Amino acid sequence: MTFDFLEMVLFAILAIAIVGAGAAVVLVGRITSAALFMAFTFLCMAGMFLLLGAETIAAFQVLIYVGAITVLILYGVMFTPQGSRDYGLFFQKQTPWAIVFVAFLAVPVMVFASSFQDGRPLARGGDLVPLATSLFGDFAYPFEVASVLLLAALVGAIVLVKRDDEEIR
Amino acid sequence: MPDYNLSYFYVFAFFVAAAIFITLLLGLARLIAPRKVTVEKARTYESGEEPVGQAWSRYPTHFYVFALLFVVFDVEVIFLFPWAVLFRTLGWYGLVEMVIFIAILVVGLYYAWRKKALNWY
Repeated sequence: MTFDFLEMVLFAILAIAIVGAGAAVVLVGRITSAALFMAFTFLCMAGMFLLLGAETIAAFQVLIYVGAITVLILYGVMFTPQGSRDYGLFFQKQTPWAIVFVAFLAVPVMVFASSFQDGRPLARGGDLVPLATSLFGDFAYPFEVASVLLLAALVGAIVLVKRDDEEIR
Repeated sequence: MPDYNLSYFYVFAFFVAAAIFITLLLGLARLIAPRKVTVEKARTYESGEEPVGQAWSRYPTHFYVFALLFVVFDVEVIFLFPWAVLFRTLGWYGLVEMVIFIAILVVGLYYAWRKKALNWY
């Protein structure tokens, strides 16, 4: 069994999992299950990045998306009131339109994807060293500004939450 | 088969093995175990108390600070990884950069502490 065949099998499994879980996010009635299906989609995307040879992005995908973003979404779900089922109905009425638009969008995407002759655009293995070199060399200033952005997000959340608390008490 | 693919194929194989193992065990338990569902058994477990309301209740918003703290330091870890890989090459310059980065984030942590946003109630 050659690796190309195995790679194709893995790609097929991951693709089916991504599309299936993505559809489940929209179709599942319970919003917590939808959030967990979304986490599963993120995890399968990490597998796709591994297949492409981008281990760093795969690791970041797991840490940021499967870890952080999913936690934020789940917290957001737990903050929402339960009775908001009308939104689900609102979206499900648009299924025919969604099918039309997806079909319309699929044509250019497939044309673009099939224009790639070589299926392996990236070098295999770690790409962490060039990333680190440019991040701490050329992009040192944006890197420091990123921490200010994170600080702003944290302070903003604290300010909003503390105000809510004082209203409750 | 190149080495890179082989090493991650093992990861995938572990995923598959774990999935098969769990499915087998749970399926076996379902086949063997007697199932007598009563109202008492189906009730939400609440440490012996009568459950009040549904399992899904809205959380107080101040837990959001913990989620955001996790995200902030998760992103910090993302930056720490490439820094750790190039630690020797970057030398003092990289160390100062990272110390400034972490110091700015620690200001946020200190702010959360002083605002008593870290209290678990």
